[in-house]
Amino acid sequence: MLSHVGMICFTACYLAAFLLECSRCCFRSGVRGAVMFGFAAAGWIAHTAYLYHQIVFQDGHLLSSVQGWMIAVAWMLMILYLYLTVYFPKTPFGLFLLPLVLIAIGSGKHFANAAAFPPDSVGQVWRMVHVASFLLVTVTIFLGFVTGLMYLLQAANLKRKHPKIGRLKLPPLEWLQTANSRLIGFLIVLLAAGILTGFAINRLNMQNQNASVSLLDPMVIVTIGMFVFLLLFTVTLKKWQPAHEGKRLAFVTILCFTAMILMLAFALASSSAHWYQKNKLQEQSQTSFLSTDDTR
Amino acid sequence: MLKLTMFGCNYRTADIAVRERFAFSPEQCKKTLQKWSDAQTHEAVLLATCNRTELYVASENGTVIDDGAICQFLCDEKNVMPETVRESLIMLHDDEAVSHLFRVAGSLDSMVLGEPQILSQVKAAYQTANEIGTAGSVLHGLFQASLKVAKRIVGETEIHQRRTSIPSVAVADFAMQIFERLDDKKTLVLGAGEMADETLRYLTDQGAMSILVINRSTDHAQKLAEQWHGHTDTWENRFARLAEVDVVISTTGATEPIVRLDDYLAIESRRQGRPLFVLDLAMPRDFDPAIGSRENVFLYSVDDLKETCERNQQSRNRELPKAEKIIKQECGKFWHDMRSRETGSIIRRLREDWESRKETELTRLFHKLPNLSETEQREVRYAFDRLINKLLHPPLESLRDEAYQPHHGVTYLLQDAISRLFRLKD
Repeated sequence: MLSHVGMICFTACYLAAFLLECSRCCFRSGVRGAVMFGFAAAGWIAHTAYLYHQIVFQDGHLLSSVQGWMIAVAWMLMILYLYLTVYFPKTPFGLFLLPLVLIAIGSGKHFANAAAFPPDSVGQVWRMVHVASFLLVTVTIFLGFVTGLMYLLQAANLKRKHPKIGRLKLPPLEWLQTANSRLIGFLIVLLAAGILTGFAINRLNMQNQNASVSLLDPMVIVTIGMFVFLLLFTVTLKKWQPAHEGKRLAFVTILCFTAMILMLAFALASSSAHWYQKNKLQEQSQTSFLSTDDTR
Repeated sequence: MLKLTMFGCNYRTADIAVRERFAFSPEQCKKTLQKWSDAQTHEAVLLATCNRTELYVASENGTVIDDGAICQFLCDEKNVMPETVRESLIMLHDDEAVSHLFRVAGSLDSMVLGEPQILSQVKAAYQTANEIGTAGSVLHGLFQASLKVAKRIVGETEIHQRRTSIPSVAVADFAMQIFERLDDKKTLVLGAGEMADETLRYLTDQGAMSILVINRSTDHAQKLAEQWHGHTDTWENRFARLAEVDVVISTTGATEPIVRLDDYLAIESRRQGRPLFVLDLAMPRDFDPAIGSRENVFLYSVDDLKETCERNQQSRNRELPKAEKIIKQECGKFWHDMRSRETGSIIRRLREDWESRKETELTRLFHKLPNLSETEQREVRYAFDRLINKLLHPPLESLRDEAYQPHHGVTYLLQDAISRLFRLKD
């Protein structure tokens, strides 16, 4: 019950902050910034309490479900939003970032009963690093999508000789290009960490004769594909038509976002070894309970 | 009773010849206020800018401010015969004076609506009066309120948000939307005209440091380069330099483009894809417009910027009603604060007077009735307090009501009546 109330609370706060962000297009206000930040901060506090409740009082494996994963991603995106709102109060980051936060929460709610990660007990440290890396990868891709989109809008606008989009002023192109470049670099490091720890977990599973994830698993293929593509892109970028560097960086961040969405959709719809159906999980836990009983 | 007067001239009432005669340097302002302080008892602040000279005079104790004396004082300071400039001078009183200062501080009365310098000039004038000691409690309140008005107009309207001159729009609205910073960027100036000079001022304000001037006449180039701590190069090297720089300001008087598309394509690969911001302020244009379609080239001509300038000016004008509303609110608040202060003083004096009488009577009563217990004494004291409060409530309530919703002159009549009826001392 509390979890439901919590989700409604912070989602409503984020929605209010988003509507206030939208009002930037219509009029100026001296107090809007403070009210907007207040809603976002209040929502984030409720969000944090909700996550704490989930971790401590529920099953303790927050990131093992799609819902938990998406809620955690939204929570981290909100930290970035609050930071950006404080340091760049006049830039409408929220117009781009808050819809993603709301979509993440909404999709988490939608797939609440859909899937979960397999409950392995081996290599807990490796698993933690693996999960943390991919959580940060998801957040970085979301943020990259925002800065990439902003870059393309800003570049098109300046070419059309308009310094603003209506009343909205976006960050300078140079800033957005630097942000995109850094996010891609960060993404490569995180993907490398995630892939390496994934291999380590698989090896441990094989040693313990547990089920392992195949290299042909769609999520593994897309992840490794993304990593290789980004690595090659970064290495060859400077040599390969440098005049288009800014635009290419922006397109790549958007491409990564699209690939991630498609990968998640495909994984949820198919039988990726990364995801277990809930009933499967329940069956497994019942089996393990019975087997423990038998042993007694 | 509070009195306020503004006397002086500005660009709306006086032409430049008259304004020049009433021009005051900061040092002259100090000397003039010093003289005022020696000769007059009223508060005064002198606001002198290139577009206006205005003397604000205030009196709190109801002393009449002699308009003729103010006019004579200012004219004497500048050795001007009042008769010769009478039509160019204006005198505003009370509400009008307050509203005028608020409009000036909020930059609604400036030649270029929303220009930011006026606020610092109002602050400087107030600061000077503070140093000399000619700003008293009324002008403190008035100038503090004017700064608040300016702050509200900046925060709640878009009057100050949008620039209206071509160089300022070019730098703030376009260059700063492309580059995050300018201190690590190279600027090339082609031509050495006034427009280039003004644009360089905005660029250096934003941090531009590396400046290269190229002009057919090296003397002019040298002069402009020295002024902005830059360098010069020969006209023939302009294409080679174009490959190295990030910002170009072009203002030559050439009758044909000095940089054609072919010229640019020849150096494009050497630019390594770095963005190039070109501000073509020449007429006819110095850069072939086709260059603007190249990747990472942001080419703006006077017409492109003029459109933004006009849009910004219209946008500022649209914000005027909002600013006027703020001024109206703040004028009301200022007069309410001033009246409350005066009313507060009367109320305080009246209460103190009655409290003192009550204490005298209580002392006499307790002395005559020595057998009263502490509880009985407390009850008697309580009864006295209630009686005083009930007696004072109607007149004080009327005073307070008048402070909130004043009727012309009634506030001062009431205050005067109460002071006289109860023989209150200042």
